[in-house]
Amino acid sequence: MKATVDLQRTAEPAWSQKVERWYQLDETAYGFCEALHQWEYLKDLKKPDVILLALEGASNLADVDFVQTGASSPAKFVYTLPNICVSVIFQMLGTSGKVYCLNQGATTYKFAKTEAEYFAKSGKTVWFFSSSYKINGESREFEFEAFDFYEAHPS
Amino acid sequence: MYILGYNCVTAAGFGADKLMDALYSGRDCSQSQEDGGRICFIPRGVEPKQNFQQRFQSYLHKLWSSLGLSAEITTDLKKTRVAFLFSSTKGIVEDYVWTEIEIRNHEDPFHAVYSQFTDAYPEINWTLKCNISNACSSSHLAFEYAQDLFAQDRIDYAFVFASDLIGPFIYKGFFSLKVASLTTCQPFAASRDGLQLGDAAALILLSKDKKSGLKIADVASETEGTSITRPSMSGEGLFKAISKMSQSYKIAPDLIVAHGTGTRFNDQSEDLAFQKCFTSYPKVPVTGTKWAIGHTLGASGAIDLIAACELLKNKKSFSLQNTPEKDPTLKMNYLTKGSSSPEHLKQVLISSLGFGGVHAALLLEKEDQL
Repeated sequence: MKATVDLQRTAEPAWSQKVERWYQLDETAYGFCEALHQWEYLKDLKKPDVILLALEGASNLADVDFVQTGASSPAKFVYTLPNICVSVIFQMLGTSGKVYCLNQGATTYKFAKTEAEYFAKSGKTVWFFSSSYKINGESREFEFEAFDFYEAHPS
Repeated sequence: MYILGYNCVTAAGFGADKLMDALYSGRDCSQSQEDGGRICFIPRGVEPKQNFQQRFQSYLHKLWSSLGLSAEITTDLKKTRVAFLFSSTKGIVEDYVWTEIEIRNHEDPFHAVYSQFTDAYPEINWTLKCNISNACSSSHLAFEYAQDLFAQDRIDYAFVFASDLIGPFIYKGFFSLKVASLTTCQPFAASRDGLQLGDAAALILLSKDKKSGLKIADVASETEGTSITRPSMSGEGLFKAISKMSQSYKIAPDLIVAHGTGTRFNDQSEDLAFQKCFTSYPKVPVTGTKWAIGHTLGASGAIDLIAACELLKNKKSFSLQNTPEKDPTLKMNYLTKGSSSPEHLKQVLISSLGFGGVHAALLLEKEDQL
């Protein structure tokens, strides 16, 4: 499931009450919140045993934003870790759990997706979240996929 | 899973023995900074100026050489399935973040570190290489990931390389958060006013079933979304992580090596979590390492694990020697300055908390053959 998110923040988002200081979110965390708002069906899925997060470029965008705004803003610095957006995802979903934030250079996306399949084959329910930093105009693509044991072992 | 070999470099110097010398002798390795705060830097000689990538490679090769692997294991590494897991929060970000670059096309700051190293050892059968970056709990999550890979029967050995090196990016960031101590790091003291940052690199070799006498009995984590920078203030997050382990293993630690950063929120959260977990063990002693060698971020869990391995071998704990007395509002049995070591040391719990709501715990056990 993919969602194309408009990164222009022109109004308070519909999900603003769910997230701590929504107005300070970095681009990646904001994008996942918008995408999760579109993926309302996630609340009906079986909760995952593990979440895999794949961000090509890790937190590079937030890192440069922190530096280019004077390297003194705590609100910018808190987003300079690639796993931070999972905390925001959990605020949107109202849940918690086990998370691996995986990086493997240019093959991060492919690697993490293959890992999700391995975990599913071992009997785990896996949620996979991903996004690259590539933008098209003012929009960026975010991806979600659920993997479970039964899909990994079709009858 | 079993620990077959380990070593580290910290502000105390090169080698686990140097780390333990500092912890046992009460040596705070921090240096004051011009603009306030304190940092525990790895001692550096007169070598030519190196960038972060070069420093990572230098420490990694030196640690690798120091492991002293047996001929049997060296042969095994060529024939069996080996993973290389790099645990780090910021990798080599300092090498490029301050310059003008096309950041949307730039690779993550981790891949270059482990790929350059593993490429230098093509004879080893690397079947999986990646970075795990879950904030300051990255080491624990790398161990948990290795545990999952062993359970899935996908690897026979795992190297966990855990490292973060302090540069202006990290220092300015923590300073902006106002969590860096301006005086001295005093975990679990009433007067605690924050953490001190530290450089470190650690290399640990794990095997699923090659017995070594040092066993990671279990490791588990729980990430939640209550706050981006604060841990679960009720202690619930760490309690859940420890409880996940107790479903599969009997937890009765003789000692806790706490995350113990020296910030008000971290130490309070851990105290509450330990109280909930160990109602029948209110006297279980608690210690930590960060007062001596700093908070080493993505390496901190690995450094604490190495310190725990050493104290089990030595049958002697270290104490929180910058903490004269514990905060009276905290309830656990903290090994403050001058406290004696518990006599019986067989099982150690190592906790870890990280930004992004990460809570993790690892159970280390000494088996009789050690």
